[in-house]
Amino acid sequence: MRFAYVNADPLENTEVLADLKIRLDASGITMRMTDKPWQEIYHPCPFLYFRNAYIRFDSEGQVIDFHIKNPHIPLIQTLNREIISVSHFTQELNSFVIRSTTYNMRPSIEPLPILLGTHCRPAYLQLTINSLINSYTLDDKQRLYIVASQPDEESLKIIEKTLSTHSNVSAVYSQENLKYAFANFGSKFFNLSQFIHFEDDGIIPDHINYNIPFWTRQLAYRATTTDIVAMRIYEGNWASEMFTCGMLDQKPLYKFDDHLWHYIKKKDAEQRTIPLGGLGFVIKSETMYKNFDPAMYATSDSFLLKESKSMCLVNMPIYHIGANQKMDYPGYNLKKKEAKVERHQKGVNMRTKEEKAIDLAPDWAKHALCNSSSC
Amino acid sequence: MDCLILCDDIDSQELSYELVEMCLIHKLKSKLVLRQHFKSLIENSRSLPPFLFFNESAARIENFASVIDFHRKNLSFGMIRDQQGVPLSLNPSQVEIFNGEPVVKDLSKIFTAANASVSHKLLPIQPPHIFLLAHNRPLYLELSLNSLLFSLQPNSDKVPITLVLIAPSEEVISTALNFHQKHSYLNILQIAENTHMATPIFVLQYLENKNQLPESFMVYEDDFILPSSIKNLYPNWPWWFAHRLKVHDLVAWLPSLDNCPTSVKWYINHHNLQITRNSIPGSRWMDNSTNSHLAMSGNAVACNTKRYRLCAKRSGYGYPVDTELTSLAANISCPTVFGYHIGWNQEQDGFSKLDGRIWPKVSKTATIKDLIKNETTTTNL
Repeated sequence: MRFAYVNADPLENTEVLADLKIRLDASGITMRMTDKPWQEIYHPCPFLYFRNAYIRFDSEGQVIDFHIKNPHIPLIQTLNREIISVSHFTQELNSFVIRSTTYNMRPSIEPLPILLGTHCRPAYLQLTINSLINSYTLDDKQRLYIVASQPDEESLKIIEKTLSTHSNVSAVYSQENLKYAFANFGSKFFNLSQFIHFEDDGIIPDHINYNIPFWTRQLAYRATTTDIVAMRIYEGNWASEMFTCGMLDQKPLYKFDDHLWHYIKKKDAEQRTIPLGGLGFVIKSETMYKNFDPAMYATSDSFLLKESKSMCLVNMPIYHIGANQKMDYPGYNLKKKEAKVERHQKGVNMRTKEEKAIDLAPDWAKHALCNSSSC
Repeated sequence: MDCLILCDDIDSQELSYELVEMCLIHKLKSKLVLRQHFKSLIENSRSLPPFLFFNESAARIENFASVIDFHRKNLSFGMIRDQQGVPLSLNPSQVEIFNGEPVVKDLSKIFTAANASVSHKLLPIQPPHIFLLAHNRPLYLELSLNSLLFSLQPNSDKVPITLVLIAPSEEVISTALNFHQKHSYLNILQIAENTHMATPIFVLQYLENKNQLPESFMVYEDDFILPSSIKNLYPNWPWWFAHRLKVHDLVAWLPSLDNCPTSVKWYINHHNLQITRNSIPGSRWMDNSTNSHLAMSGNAVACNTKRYRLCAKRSGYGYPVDTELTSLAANISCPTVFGYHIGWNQEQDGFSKLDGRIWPKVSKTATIKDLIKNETTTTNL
């Protein structure tokens, strides 16, 4: 018997799993699901190993046949250093490299667009845009929307340069500082019914393509399995007050284990401090943008948490460089301290130069209805 | 007990004894306790009256006699703190210890004193000379320097810091000079040649030629961002690094591994490295005694000059590489708070690829210019 172990969690995209199973079945290989790394799988003879369900390579049957005939070879890996077959016959760690590379299956679900708000922290904006663009290099259908909310000259230059070099990026310029209402504004301006919320101060680690290929599609799928999907915010650069104020005493920090996807029930989430925020948070506009506080025209993520029954946290730590702003941009918070914004705002699409007026007040559902019937 | 003084396993006796003596002058009896025993001490002291709390032996409380007097007359308060939120005295019947920090859950039981505050005395030791090395990443340099200088407040001008610009880009020079305008105590050296990893050896030689050879120094890379909490959690940390170098071969800030690049992730997975960093609960330091993979990445490493030069001699390259440093480091001490190694993002930020490690041959001669004094010298190894 020939086996393949696939490291995946129970709510993995069924399309991706089915595709892999069909491939393996065709080669007479039995697929087994696991949540363990290859080092912890004990199997009497060599087996294929898929670090996640998206990994694909050609000639699976030939690889496992070769390995079964040569069990003294501990590992078989591809040119891109992906371990694809394992034998515990020996304790050595040497690898046999085959002249082939793995690739990732692209799921058919559409990628979620990313909506990024920025004001005037150009250094942070540049690093955030760099990491976002790097994170979706695999996906030519990915869209990035930027809301430039009363940006300074340097931030504006960064956005203009990004627009000139990346055709899948759009941006809207607002003369006013939209503060916390930027996502309400941006979702209406670009008509985004669902998107990934981002601010200009979150750096995604470069290993996202290694660990979550097509991550915006994966988040889109996960959003169908639970009320909330959010990425983890790295806790290591929190201000010292976070550790000394006693908050973590009342609600201890949620501890992530090595797994990527963490499903939590609301009642369990309420017992913990969950490191999530405005970076990598999946927003369903109709659910989020309603019943506005007329002064701010914004909804905080705590509103979503209140309405949800379960959440999926993605253990992909985003570095919230904004937590460093008292070192890099002292005084920046003062600009947001008064969160009040005017109800009627205007924005100019920086690519098409089209100007639009946006009413921040209506619920998103009403806005969408008006938009479709041109009321 | 009238005063509780928290100590680390390698503490400064000069400072703690001085503090004990100062309290005795006011007829206050002190108790020294290891930080990791703080929680159990509080649990066993519930019946004691309020006492002064010194979070470390370097802490000094202004008007401390008045603070303890006030607290003992107002027993309903669980904690007296200063206006920055730093605890000054604790009532053990109302305090819980969490993550090594005293916490009073009922905020109405916390009194903020306007006329008392905590400062931190400097250890009687020379801090390591910090060599901040930069080449061609001006944005990283800016963020790293912001965080370094913030962490050193209010004593940043008392630490010798030299920005060493190695075959720098124009933007790096401009960034360094901008910092000098705001912080005139910063030294700036520009090395014409790319001296790579040999740079510290050249700078040491340069300083020796000027009779300024430091006893200890720190190699600090331009891509390492310390969190803002360091200023409060590790006040005056370079002095403590120098102090720890009396017993440790290396003292270093470690980077978080959360953003380590795919190639490093692959290496860790492939070798199944146990990279968990154990520390004694409550302690703010850890060492390599229980963890041989402390994942030293060399972002901010302090060591004695003599040891570093021995490593250079041991190396076939003429300068120490990571393996030389760790081979001659039997014990390594690191804070339990990690920095962010933004250099691991350099590929996505448009700098060169991280894959592959090269140890190039370096010339024995370098042209070093002091950009502030406008003096150029040739340094031979």
